[in-house]
Amino acid sequence: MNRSIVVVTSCAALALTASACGGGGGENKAVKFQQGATYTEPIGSDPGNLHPLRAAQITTNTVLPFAYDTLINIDSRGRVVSQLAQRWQATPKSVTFTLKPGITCADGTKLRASDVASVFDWIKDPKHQSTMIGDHVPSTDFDVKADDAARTVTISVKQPYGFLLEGAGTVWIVCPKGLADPKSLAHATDGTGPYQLADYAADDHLTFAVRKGYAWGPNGASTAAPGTPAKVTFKIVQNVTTMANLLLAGQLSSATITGPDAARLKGQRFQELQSLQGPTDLFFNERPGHPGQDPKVRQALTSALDLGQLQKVLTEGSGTRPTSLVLLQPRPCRIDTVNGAVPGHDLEQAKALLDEAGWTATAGGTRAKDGHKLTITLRYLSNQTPLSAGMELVSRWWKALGVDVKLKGADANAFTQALFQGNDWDAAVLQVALPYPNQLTQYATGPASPKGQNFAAIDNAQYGAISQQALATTGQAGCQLWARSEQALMRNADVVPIAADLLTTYAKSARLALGLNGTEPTSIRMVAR
Amino acid sequence: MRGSGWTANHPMLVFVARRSARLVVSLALLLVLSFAMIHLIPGDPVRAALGPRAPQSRVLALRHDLRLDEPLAKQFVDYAGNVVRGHFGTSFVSNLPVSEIIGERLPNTARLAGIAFVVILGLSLPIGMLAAILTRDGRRRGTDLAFTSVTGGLAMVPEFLLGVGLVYVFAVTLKWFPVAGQSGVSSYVLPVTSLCLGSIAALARIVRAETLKVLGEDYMRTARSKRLPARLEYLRHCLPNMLTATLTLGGLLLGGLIGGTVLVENVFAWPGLGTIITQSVAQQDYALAQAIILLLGSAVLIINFGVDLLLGTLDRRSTIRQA
Amino acid sequence: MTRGRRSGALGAALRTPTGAIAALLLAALLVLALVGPLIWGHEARAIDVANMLQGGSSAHPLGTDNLGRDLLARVLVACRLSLALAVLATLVGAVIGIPWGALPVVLGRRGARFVNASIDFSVAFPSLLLAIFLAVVLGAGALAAVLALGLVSAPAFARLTQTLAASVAGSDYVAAARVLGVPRSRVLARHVLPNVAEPLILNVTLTVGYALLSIAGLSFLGLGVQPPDYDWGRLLQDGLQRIYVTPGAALGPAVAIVIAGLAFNGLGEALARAASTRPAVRKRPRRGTAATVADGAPVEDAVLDVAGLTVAFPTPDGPVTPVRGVSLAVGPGEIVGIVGESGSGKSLTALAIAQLVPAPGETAAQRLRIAGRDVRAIPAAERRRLLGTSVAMVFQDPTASLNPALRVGRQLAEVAEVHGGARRSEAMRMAVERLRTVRIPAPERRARRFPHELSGGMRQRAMIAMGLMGSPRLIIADEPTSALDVTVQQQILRLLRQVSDETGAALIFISHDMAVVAELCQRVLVMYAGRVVEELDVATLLSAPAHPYTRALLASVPEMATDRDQPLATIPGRPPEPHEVPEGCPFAPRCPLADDRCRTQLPMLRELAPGQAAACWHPQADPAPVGGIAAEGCG
Repeated sequence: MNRSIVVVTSCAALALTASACGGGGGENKAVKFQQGATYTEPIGSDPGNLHPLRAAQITTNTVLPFAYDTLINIDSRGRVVSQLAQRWQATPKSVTFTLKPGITCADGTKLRASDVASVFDWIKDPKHQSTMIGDHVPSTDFDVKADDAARTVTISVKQPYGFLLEGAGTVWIVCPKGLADPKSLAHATDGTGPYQLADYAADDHLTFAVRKGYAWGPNGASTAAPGTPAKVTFKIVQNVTTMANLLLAGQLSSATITGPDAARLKGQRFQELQSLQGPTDLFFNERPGHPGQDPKVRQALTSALDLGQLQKVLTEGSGTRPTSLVLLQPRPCRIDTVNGAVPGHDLEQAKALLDEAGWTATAGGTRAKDGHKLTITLRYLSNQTPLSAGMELVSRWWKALGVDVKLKGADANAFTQALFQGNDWDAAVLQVALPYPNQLTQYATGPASPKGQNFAAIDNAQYGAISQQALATTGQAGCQLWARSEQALMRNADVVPIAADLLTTYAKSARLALGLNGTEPTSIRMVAR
Repeated sequence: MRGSGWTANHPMLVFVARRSARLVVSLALLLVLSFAMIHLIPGDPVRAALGPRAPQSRVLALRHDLRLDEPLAKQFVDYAGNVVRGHFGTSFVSNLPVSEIIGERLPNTARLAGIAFVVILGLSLPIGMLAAILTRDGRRRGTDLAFTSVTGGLAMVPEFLLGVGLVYVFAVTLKWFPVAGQSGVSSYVLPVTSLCLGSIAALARIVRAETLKVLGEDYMRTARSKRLPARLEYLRHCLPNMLTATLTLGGLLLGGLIGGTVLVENVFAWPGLGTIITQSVAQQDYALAQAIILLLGSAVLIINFGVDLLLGTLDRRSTIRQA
Repeated sequence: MTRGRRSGALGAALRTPTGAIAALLLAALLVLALVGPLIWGHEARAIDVANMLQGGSSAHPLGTDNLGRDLLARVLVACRLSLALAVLATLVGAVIGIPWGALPVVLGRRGARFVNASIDFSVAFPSLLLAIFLAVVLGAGALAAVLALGLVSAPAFARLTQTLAASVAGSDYVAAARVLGVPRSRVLARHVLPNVAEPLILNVTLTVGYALLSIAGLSFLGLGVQPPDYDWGRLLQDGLQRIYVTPGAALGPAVAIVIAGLAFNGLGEALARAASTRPAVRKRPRRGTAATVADGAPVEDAVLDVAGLTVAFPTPDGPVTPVRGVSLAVGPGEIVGIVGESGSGKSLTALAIAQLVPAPGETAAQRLRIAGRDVRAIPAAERRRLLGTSVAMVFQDPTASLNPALRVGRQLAEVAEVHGGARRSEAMRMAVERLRTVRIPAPERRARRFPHELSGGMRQRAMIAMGLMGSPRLIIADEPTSALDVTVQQQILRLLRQVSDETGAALIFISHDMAVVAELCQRVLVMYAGRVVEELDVATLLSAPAHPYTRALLASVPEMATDRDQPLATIPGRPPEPHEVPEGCPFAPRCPLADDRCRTQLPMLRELAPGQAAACWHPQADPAPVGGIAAEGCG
């Protein structure tokens, strides 16, 4: 899965992510299944180009698992399970997958190990500019070997990479015909998945048709299961309220509804699945000339915030305290790093820290140092009422501290521009949703933007050292190191996690479970009402 | 000399020719504006579309593919040339040809706006005229007050608010109509109503005002002195004179209808242009946004042109005055 | 437009229920805008996260927002910013648009055409797109929204100004000014702008209402006011997301917007209405005694036999009677003149006879018989035919009295179609015939023309021809020549006499011009303050009128030989308005012969000699100095 910074543009663009916490799965008591039905789900925008190895949008990743498989899958508890591969062996430097027998593409041709290797060769070619590079495989610096007789594929990297199994194992496997003709995959599919794309109307809907005989899903799931829908339709609906209306009217099988509309769905006997989104973090511009360059100032500003209350406001009461900077599925590392690491809520401490840093109170109310007023330009995405409300709250608290706060909400383009291309901000609140801890490094170390992705110009030596080590370590040992690195960031107030959203997916005419990218295709069971 | 005599004897043709020339100039200006508008928005849409994690090389490559690194003047010439040939480019956000996107969505918006327009004219003219006839010379103060209040109130309610209210009452609660989307005749009712009501109210007021003005004219007194039946008096004598101002404002109304359509389409998830306008402008999806602006602007210009022609035939004085 | 009239319009507007309510609402809104933040500001800022997103309750009637702040307080406080933004945007639009639209008047033809084209183009450009674009470029926020909306509304102002200015600039007096060499800018300032000011002010008022809506729309798209500021639009946007769950959050700002819009619209409408109707009567009228003329017996064979004709208009201060007890009998083929100053009620008398007095005026008469039939007693269909065919009206201003949208021939033909049951071709033929009768050259061609393509004289002839379509027994001509120049006047007068001679129709000729009346008519009625003060034949009129007023009128007509060194003879003072008619003889205040009896007792019309009756306590018997009227006589 490809996880870029989720700069949330509208409620409807939020992705469904993993971890079914309640109900879900296949076991149901005395439920009648419907055969040959159509499952309908909304997505917030047109997925655009459907080429899996070039996919960049969240909505694209939502629909891809229906037509394409990956070598392994990761269950709700973070454990690796089989999909195309039935066996695997992994070290930080190489991983070998053994394919299940009898895998076929949508057109019936058998999938061989060398076909899988071709996919990796394809993404290795820098000309193809694949989005799998960076998120799944750290760089194009790898080798791939295949043995058709033994049905094995081996990927080996020069630099040790602790998440090589999970990364390489979740690359979309494209069938050879489609791989050879990338243009053909823009609005059509050629994969081994349980469905294939049957109909597409731009900005309106996509419809997938089921493939009989599919039996190599996660943990051996197949489309022969009773209640498997014959068709899956993704309807493009931009407005959450409209989604809720359609769901209530029975025109959608399931939908993720956030905000006040969720209240309308309570008590309507929906299956409810929850997933974590976020966290929403506070960053400071640490470049010279900005107040955030001084760690004391950062810690003071953080201490002035009642993070618990702020979290409630940002999530309208339906969120939770974030336990880490990395919250998305598969979340291989699940250590609570936040507790004790983030500076606590202490207004007096904050004032003292600012005094120490040289920002003294003046007659006008705003603190000043060397003749400059303490001004903070706080940037955030506009048009989200809870976020705007939260920013007003932050502004109130900082003003009480003697800071002159300028609120600057902006649309997605302008916001990204300001952060990644510009320097006109002192603090920013945005959601950085990542599934793997190593993906944080590009934002927390390395060259500052616009050269790199380190938009806050964070320079935390401790984080740099520990994360380097963690990169090459697998398993729980690696997770321990990642945890310590995160804490280094939080103690220094380089990154302050504020809130995690709890997204609820409601389903009525279907039972389903959530996978890595949204609805797990093989988990859908249509029920008769 | 034939020239001047001919011009004087065919004022109508001169009028049409002049208006057509003006239309062509306006369309050309629209072309320039649609290009300038999008390119004037600060920011790099390619970078924004590819995301902050895309390597700079990829951004530059896409900019080159889209020919965005060429000088603006050349870009405009290419753009203009393409438009004239009917090539509107490809949306770099969705990778679909713009003509395809618009081709799928335009009919839906056109249908919605078209039906709304017809309903608005068809209802506001008789309602407004009737209100004027009933309340002329200060008669029926009560009706006057009721009409003014109701139309005033309705005209002030924003279409999106009306849409939301209608959905809540008629679709979600009463379940008489579908909640959203385009799916058969019944799905048109709520969106069209949301679009129309305010405009009917506003136009009916204008119609009434114009009719009252006309009714007060001396020639209506002459018509009354001839003791013509009411039908002739109002339809033959009154209507053509108040139609001029009404149609002018009606033409402006259609432009406003387009704005209303954007908002209403959002409420009803209508698969039209409204649901992608704001997005494409904000995302600076050049090809798509330019095409939409061009399209909508041309539609309004052409409609106004048609209204002008219609008025020219109805009101002979203005033709001569303009020529 | 005088200052008096302007404040009169406002006052009149405030007296109508719509205007009063609107003004009250606006005043309330203004007060709210001023004091709202002072009173409720604190409550609107009070954060209470524990109680966020609640619905309506006794503590919070509209509920609370995302920070637990009271929504009702926020709606009340937001009034200031909302109104301010709407007003500002409108002002920006007006400041840009009005000069833009007035430019064509000042520029030459080329420049004017260019400016007009630019306005047409800008008006057509979809405003929402422009607003979105401007907001994106300027960065979302209140300033951007104001500028965006101002720029977007400017073309509408420009177009309106352009239209109004063009209609004024095309009028005759402006053409005259230009011919006289008055510079264009002066024409603009002194002639055009004052006359377009009223509709523009109305438009400004209305535009503020629409600006409110538009800013709300921009906020709905997220481009308007940004936190921590808030206006109704932003509150609406926030509340709309919750409308199904806590509708109060959306209804509050929505209702506020609607009320504000109604207030502006209502006031604008009331102003427009008041400015266009007659100014309301301000003084208390003295109740005039309803006329009861000595009952004449019904006249046999009269084409018109009316007795005790009264026209009354209701006003807030009581009924006003501009026509009081007029009696008149006209025989077949007779030409009777009604003469008097403006305001004497002569035109209304004519309308009243033809049953054309506009509402809310009411006509009453003891007797009203036309062609022997009691107009009020016959059934409606018959009355229509009677009045439509037997009575022909010729109005003063033929330009305004002919429908500009219909061809001349059609306007004539329809009389035959409706009342004569003729078919279209037949009716058209008749129309052409009538046009020929009134000496219009090339009548077939002229019939296909529109009224504005005919000259003033021809138009009046056409009006007369229209009246002749139904073979009338009575022609009522109300100042038919006053709008024409002198040479044409003579032609029309001759034509009227010819028509009367040839068709045998009686003619009532109404005028203020004593000379013309004396030339054309056989018998004359002199009216003053709604009454007939003297009735006499022309010969007596020119030799020995009895009523002092008639004498004064005659004396005031200048002749070619009048001594130019003497001031022009006029009657001092002015006639009374219908609502200020004094008790006693209405002419008493201006009459040199008036005594106490005149001032207290109203003289009735009494026959002094055969063919002469006067309403005076001191009728004069001696021959009068005639003045400039040639005693041509007629008949």
